[in-house]
Amino acid sequence: MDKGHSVINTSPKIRIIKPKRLEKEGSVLLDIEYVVRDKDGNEVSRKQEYGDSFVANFIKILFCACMKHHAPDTGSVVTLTDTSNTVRTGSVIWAAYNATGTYKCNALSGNDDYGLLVGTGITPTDINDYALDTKIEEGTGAGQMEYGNHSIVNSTHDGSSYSYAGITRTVANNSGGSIVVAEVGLVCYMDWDSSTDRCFLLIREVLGTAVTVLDTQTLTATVRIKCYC
Amino acid sequence: MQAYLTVKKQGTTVINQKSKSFLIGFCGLMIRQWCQDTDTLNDTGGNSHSSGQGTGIFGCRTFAGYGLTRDHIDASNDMEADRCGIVIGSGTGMVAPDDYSLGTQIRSGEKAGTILYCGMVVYGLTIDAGTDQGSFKIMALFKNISGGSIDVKEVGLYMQGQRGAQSYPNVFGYCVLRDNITTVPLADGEFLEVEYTISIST
Repeated sequence: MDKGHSVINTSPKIRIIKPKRLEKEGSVLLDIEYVVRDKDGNEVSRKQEYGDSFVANFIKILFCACMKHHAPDTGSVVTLTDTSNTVRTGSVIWAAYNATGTYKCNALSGNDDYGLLVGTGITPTDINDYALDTKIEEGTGAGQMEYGNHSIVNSTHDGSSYSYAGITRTVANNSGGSIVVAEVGLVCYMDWDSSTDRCFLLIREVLGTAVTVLDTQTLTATVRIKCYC
Repeated sequence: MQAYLTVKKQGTTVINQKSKSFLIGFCGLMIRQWCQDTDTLNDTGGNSHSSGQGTGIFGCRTFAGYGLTRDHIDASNDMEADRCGIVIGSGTGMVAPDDYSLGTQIRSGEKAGTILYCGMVVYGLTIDAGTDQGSFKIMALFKNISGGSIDVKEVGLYMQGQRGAQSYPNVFGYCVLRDNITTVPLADGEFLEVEYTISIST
């Protein structure tokens, strides 16, 4: 299933896939880059795609952050679904009590609970997605990859039509076999319904063309948030 | 993600268009949060800040009037009513991706050349699984009581950014949207309503 396509739902479950046109002017798009390198660090392949698959959790958190939502102190609440498919009812008030605030995605190496994650799933993105379709687990066993730290791509602009900033993470395949990466997700880690941190999917993109990462190779994925004017 | 702009004068829609300009302030604020790291942005006064994540990021609900208004989550985040949220102006310069403010903001007030900022709401969160779309609205009300007519030629959205934990009083406004519009003359005594709809579509 080729992502970079929009989905029209018909009642109740039939889906028609049609090519999706991503209008740039006035939009915030996801500019996603994948670089595969061999064990010596030599670049093997590079690929770039555009997407716009922000899911429901993303806009719900932004809504609450914009209004500086007081719930549950005042009784008005918003529900998010965490990556374990558990509905969490809360607000940014809990994140406001924590210095990290909202949208924290910079997981440390070895952590596959949140941050920039990769998977093998090909199911088209649904706005209510709460996790990757099939996440690649942390490790060196069959079908597993080793997740690195994150780094920032600082904000910049072209002077005329767009600005961007991004987050980067490298995953290494030391599983002994090839792994086909077909989806990428961004998961944040934040307080929502209590002072207990939860993991919430913000973005899920199914790649137009899957990326094969051979044993001993690394994949560096960068998700840039790109603002057009 | 996109934004749509509606402007009503005295309750009648005079502008209804797709917003054309998300700015560097939005991606900069977002990346500070995603990466919990430092990014350098100009605040709406043109002052550069190399700051990281914070607790009040994206806040844009302000309250009526002028002078300092109270942030109900954190009093140390108090800001002037026209330094955060939806703002209006009289500038006509082309929008650039690194704009950090309106071209010429119309400040909140009752004196000549000012328009009273009457407060703002964030509301209408909807998620439609059928169309894979989600949205919410940010709406602000303005009244001209300056004694003369004022032309509104641009609108924008300022969001809050800060550094550190809740008790840190380092709060700044950052421009995330700026749109030039067809001139809307607002006579003395008239109301203006400006609404942005922020939407996603997977």
